[in-house]
Amino acid sequence: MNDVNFSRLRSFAILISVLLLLFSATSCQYDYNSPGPGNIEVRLRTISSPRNITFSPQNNFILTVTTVEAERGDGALDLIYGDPKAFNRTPTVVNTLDTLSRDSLKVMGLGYAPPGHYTAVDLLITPGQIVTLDGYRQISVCTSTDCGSPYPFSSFLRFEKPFDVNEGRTTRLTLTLNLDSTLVRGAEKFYFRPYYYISSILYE
Amino acid sequence: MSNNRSLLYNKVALLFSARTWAVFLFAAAVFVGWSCTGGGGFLPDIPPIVRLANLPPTQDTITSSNPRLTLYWVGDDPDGYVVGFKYRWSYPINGVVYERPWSTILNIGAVKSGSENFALMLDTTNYTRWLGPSAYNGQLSERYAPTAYKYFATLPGGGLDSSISNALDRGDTVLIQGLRVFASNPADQAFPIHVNPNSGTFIFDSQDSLNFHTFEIEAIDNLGVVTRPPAKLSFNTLRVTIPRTQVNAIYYSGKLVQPGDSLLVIDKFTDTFTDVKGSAGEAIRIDYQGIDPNSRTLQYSWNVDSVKNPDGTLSWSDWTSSASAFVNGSDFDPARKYEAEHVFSVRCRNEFGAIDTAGFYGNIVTGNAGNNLQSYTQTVVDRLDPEGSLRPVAGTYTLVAQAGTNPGTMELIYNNGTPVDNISPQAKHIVVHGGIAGVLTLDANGIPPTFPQVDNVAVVVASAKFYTIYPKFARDPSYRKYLILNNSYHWSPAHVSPFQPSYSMIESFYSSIFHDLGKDGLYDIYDVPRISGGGEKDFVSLGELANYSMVFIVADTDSLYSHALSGVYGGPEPFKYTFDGSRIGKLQTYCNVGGKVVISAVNFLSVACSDQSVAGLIHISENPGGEPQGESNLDIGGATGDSTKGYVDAVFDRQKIDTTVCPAGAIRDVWTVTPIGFGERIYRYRSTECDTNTSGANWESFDRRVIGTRYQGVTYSVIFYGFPLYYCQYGNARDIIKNTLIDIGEN
Repeated sequence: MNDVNFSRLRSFAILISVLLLLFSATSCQYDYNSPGPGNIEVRLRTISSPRNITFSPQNNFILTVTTVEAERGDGALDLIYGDPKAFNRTPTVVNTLDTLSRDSLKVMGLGYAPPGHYTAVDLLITPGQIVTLDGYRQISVCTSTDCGSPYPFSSFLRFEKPFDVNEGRTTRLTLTLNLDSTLVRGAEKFYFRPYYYISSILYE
Repeated sequence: MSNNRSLLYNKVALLFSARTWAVFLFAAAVFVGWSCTGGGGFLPDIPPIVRLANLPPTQDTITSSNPRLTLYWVGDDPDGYVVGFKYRWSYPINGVVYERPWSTILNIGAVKSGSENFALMLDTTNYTRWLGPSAYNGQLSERYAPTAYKYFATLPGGGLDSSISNALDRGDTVLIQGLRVFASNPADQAFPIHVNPNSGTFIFDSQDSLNFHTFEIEAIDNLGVVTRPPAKLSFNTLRVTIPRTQVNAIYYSGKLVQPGDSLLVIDKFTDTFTDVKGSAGEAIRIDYQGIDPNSRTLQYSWNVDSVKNPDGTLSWSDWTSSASAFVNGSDFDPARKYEAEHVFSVRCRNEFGAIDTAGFYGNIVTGNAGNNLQSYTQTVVDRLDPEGSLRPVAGTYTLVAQAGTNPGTMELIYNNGTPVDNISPQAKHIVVHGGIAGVLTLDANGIPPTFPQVDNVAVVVASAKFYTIYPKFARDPSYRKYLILNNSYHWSPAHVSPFQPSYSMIESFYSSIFHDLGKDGLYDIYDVPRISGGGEKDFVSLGELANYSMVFIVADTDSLYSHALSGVYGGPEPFKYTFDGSRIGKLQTYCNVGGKVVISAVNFLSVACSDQSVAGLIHISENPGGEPQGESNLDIGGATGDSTKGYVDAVFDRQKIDTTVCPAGAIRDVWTVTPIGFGERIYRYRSTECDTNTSGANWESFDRRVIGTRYQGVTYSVIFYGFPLYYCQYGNARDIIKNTLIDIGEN
C-alpha cells in the first residue's frame, strides 16, 4: 500500500516538475524575431566619351577589384563576395573598356547583407599598367609619383552615398568610373586619377 | 575570597614587578630625553650647483666668427638631485642689450626620436594665471619643474605612451600633469638644439659688428630651488656674414646654354616642357650655388625681370633648398614677356637668416680671360637698384677693389670718387679674388665700351641674363603660319627630270596644293641644301621655327632613290641632304613647346635615324641601334589610308616614275614602321615589286605594315608619311594634305 502511494506520489511529482519546466521554459521567451538578410549587388559602369577612348573589343584597360565592402551606418563593414554562395573573396578582373562595363552589366559583388542603413561602398582596386588601344597601341599607365604622376594614388576607393538594405530584397548599386577623368592623358602615358561615384541605387 | 585576593595581589605584583618598572623608567627617560632636544625642524636645503664647461680664463673673452656655438654644462645637488636647468642669454642690437627669456630643460634622459635624441622642454609662456605674472617667460619655472620631472622619471616599464612621444616627435606641445611640455628638436627640425640635457647648440643673435653675449644657466633641484647666482659665460660673436651666391649655369632641354642661344619658352610647364630635372623636355633650368662655411643650411629665392608684387615689393619665389630653378614665361615681367632678354636673380639665406642680395643689386659679369679682361665685352654693372632709381646712367665710374684682401670687396664709387649713398650694403659685398682697379665709362645703356686692365679677377655673381623666344603660336592659338621645309635631294640642272625633280618643281607642287586649300600667304618655303659648292645651308633656327604654327618637312627625293630610278648614282655629294641630330633636336624642341610637324619623305629614316633618334619624335619603335623597328628598302606601289581617320589611299603618279627602271610604277627604298605609345597608324604599306630581277623578295609579305603614322599628343602633334607625297597624283596628294591639316588642327 505504501509502495503504491509512494509510486503515485512520485509520478505526481514528476508531472508537476515537467509542467513547471515547460511553464518556465515558455515564460523565458521574449518577443524577438531576427530579420532575414537582404542582398547587395554591386555593379561597375564605366563612362568614356568617343572622342577619348571608345568601347571596343580592341581597347582594354584592366581594373582588378580585390575587395568590396559595404559600410553600415554604425560603421560595421559587410564584406561582399562574388556571389551569395561564395565563401571567399577572389579578385574580380574587369576590362573597363568593354561593353559589359559600359552597360553596367559587370557584377563585382553580390552577397547577403544585414538589413539596415548603409553609407558607402569601399573598393580596393589595382589599375592595370597598360591601356591597349585599337588592339596594337600600348600606352603605359602611371599611378605613382615615381613615374611622374602629379596625382597621389590610393588603391582604396570610397563610394559615398546613403542606401538601405531591406529584408528579402536586393539593393543594386551601380558604381560609375569616369574614364575621361580617370585616365588623364599625358604626352607619353596616362596618369591614373580615379573619378568615381555611385550613379544608381535600385531596390528590387 | 582568599583566592581572589591572592589573584589580585599577583596581578598587582606583576604590575609593579622590577622588569615592568625598568621598561617604564626607560621609556620615560627616552621621552624626556627627546623632549629636551629643543624646537626641532629641517636642515635648510642646499641649492644645486651648475658648472659650464670650456670657460675662458678670467678677464678673457673669446670671439667667435660663427654665431652658432655649442655649450656644455653639468649640475649637481648636495642634498637632492637636479631636475632641470634654466638658461638664457643676452644680445645687443644697435648697442642696446636685450635678454632672451628663460628656457627650461628637464634633466631627464633624452628620448629617442627617429635618428636624433631630444630633450624635454617646459613651455613657460602660459602659466601666468597659475603662478602669477612673474612666471611669465619662465622666471619661476623651477616651481613646477620637479612635478614634470617626477612624471618622466617614474614612468612604468613601457616608457612614455606612444601617443605622447609621437606628438612630441611632431613638434606638438603636450600636457603632462597640467604642465606644457615640448621636445627640443622634433623630427622636422634639421639640426638638434639639445641632444641631451647637458648641452645645447644655440645661434646667438649677431647683428652688430661685435656682439657681446652673456649666457646664464641655473640648475633646479628636486625642491624647486635654483642655483644662485647662475653660472655665466661671456663671449663675443662677429656679425653674421651673408652667404655668397652665384649662378653656375643655365640649361635648356638638358643642355648647357651657350652664348647667343635663344630659348623657346611658354607660360606653363607641360609634359614636354617640364620642371623635372633630367626629364626629356626640360624647360629652362638655372643652377646656382650658395657659399657660407658657417651655415649648415642654405635656402634660395629667385626672381626674374624684377617682377614686383602689387604693393611694389619684389616678388621673390618661396624659399627653397633646391639649388636649381625652372623658369617659364609666367615668371617674366608680363609687360616684357615677349621680349628676348630676361634677367634671373637669386638670393641666398643662411641658417642665421642673413640674406645675400648682392647678385640682385649689383651684377658684375666677368671672368678670367688670360688675365686680361679687356678681351671681355660683358656688362660690368647693369643694374644697381631694383626700384630703378639707381640704374646706371652714362657717366664715368670707378671700380675699386683692394688687392690682396681675401675675400676682397669691390665698391662702386660714383664719378669723382664720391661713394653712392643710397646703395645697400649688400651691393658692395661683391667678392673679388685678386684685385681690380680702373675707370669705367658706361654708355647710355649702362654698358662699358672698354674694360679696365685687370689681373686675374673672378667675380661672384648671382644673376644671369638669358634670351628667350615666345612662339607666336603660343601667344595666339588662332595663329596660322606654315613653313614648308624642303629638305629633299637637290638635283643639279643636268639631272633634273620629272622623276628627279628640281627644287622649283617640288615647291611648285606644294605651292599649288596650299593655294588650292586656300592657304595663300599663310606659308613660307625654306630650302635647306640649296647652296652649291659650299655645302649645306644652315638649318632653320629655333627663332625661325617659332614663327610657324606648323612645319611641313618635305624630303621627297634622295640620292639613293635617284639611283634606283634612273641609274644615275648619287650626284654631287655636296647636295646630299642630311637630317642630323641637331636638326631633329631643334624640331623636338620646337614641338616641346607646342609646335606641329608633318613629314613627307622617302627613305627618310635611313638618314635621320643615324644620329639622334627621330623615332621618339614620330613615336615609332626603334631597335637598340637606333634604327626604326621595321622593314627597310621596300618597293611600294601605294599606301592604304585609314578611312576612319579621313585618310584616302595614296596613289602614285606614274608620270613621275621612271617606268623604264621600274615598269610596275613603284617607289623604292621605303621603311615600314611600328607606332608606339600614342602613335597611331594612318597608312599601311602596299607592295609592288619594282625590279623583276629581285623576284623572290616577297614584298607582299609586308603588306599592311605601317608606312604612315600620326601622333596627336597633349602638347604637340606629328604626322609622318613614309612615302613621298610629291610622287602621288596631284589631287590625291591635295586630299591627303587637306585631311592632314584638319587632323593636326591647322585647317
